[in-house]
Amino acid sequence: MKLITHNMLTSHVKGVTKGYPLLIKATEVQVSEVEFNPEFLSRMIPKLEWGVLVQAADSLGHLNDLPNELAPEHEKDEEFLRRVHRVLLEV
Amino acid sequence: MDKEASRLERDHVHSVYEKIAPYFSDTRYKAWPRVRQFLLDQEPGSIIADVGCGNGKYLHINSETFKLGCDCCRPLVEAARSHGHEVQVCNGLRLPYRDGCFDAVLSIAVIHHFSTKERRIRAIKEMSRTLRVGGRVMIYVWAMEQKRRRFEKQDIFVPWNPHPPSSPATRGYPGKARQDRRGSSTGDCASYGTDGNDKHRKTKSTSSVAGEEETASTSHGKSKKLWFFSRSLDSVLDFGGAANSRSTRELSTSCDDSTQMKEANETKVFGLNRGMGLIKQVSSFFSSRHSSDEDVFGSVVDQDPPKLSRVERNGNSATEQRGLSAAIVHTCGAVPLPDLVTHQNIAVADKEEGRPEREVPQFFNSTEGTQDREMNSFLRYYHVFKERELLELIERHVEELHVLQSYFDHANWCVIAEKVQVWQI
Repeated sequence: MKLITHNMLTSHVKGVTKGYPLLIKATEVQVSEVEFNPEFLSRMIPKLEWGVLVQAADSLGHLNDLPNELAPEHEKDEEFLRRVHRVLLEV
Repeated sequence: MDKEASRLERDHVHSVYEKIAPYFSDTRYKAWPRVRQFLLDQEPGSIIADVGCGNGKYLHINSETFKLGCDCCRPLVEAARSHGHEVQVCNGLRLPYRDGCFDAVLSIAVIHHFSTKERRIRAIKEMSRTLRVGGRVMIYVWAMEQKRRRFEKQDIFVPWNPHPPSSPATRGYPGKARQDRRGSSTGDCASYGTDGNDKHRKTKSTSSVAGEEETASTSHGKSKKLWFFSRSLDSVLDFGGAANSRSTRELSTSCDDSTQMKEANETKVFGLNRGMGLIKQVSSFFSSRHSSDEDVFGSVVDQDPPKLSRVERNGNSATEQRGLSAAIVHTCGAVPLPDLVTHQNIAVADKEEGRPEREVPQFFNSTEGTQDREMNSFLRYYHVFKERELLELIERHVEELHVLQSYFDHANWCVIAEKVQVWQI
């Protein structure tokens, strides 16, 4: 499962009061290459729960230097977008 | 009630899909053009969910977007996952997604598998919950009004037939051309009318078993298999306000009828007694009600004065007792789909007493002989939608969805709706 998917997932099981975000217990972490698409990423980032992504990436040991807070004009920073790309789509 | 509905869906939707999943393949079903277009219209970077994604045939369209798929059928989800899609197994009434996270949601051939109106509404609301304001949902449901199939009731069981490539599955019908009958160029209406099968079918359908028809139709070569009909009051209740007096009449008849049917079932003479006479009347109501160019049986009904006169008598008596009818309407309204409850209860009772289930299998005894039990496990439940029904369901019950488009496509009623901000006062 990609971390972008994790960002959307929540739990509605009865009795669960805080279904989001889900804790990740990874048995295996793979990294697979996906084509880099800066436009896709810059449109995607505002839709994410950023804190949840950072937390999830950190828990897998793939934080990849993502900052806790989104920087303004981050969409112009290709190096940053590449790091997000890795965390979001390739881990 | 919800339990029974959910059990029906488990037995006649979920478990059937698990069994037929191996027959699905990528080559078998093609993406429908308007669905494809809806996906292509989404902006780059959009997040899209395909709720009821099956084996994921729509998940590869538009690589500029991110798509999630989910389905309650694990084997199909596994198939989709094996193609590299991000998919989840889940229940359509409790989607595992956070509020407002999607720019678009697809619901192709899903809502018609929910067995009560309340659950259909809940399923739509649940999808709407996951949409952002301004996001759009596309919903396809199987239509009652189809040129090549005729349904006498809205709540039906449709057998899955793994052998011919043509199937009643809702996602496209690549069919093999069968023997062409006279009049095929004018469509299947003609082909029904010419071979005498219609009479046969009419008779059978009155016993809630629609005829066994290999009637092939049209140059597209779509074939027709067995159609099994349940007797639902839900369909009567859903007629809406436009035909009030008439539905009251119909309802009173069908309420009587369900009582009769219960007796019929209990006395094991299902199919041959006075209960069937009443079913016949109800069927004729349905048939005549939907007379149209597509209505292949309209003329049969019209030419059957004895049946109609019986119907009239019933109608008149119901009108005279309007107070009573209204009471029946009320009672029935409080308990949607009572016939299905009855079926379920009977089935359970039978199991407890160690007797075989006799409801649906019995239908097969009369037509399919020894394969009945196996076939029964392939019966899928559908609620087929009438024109405007889906539209009105959304407009009346899901206020945060604003319908942008409503149309007919590939034997489905379809709606595209946008989520709007609803201000709570």
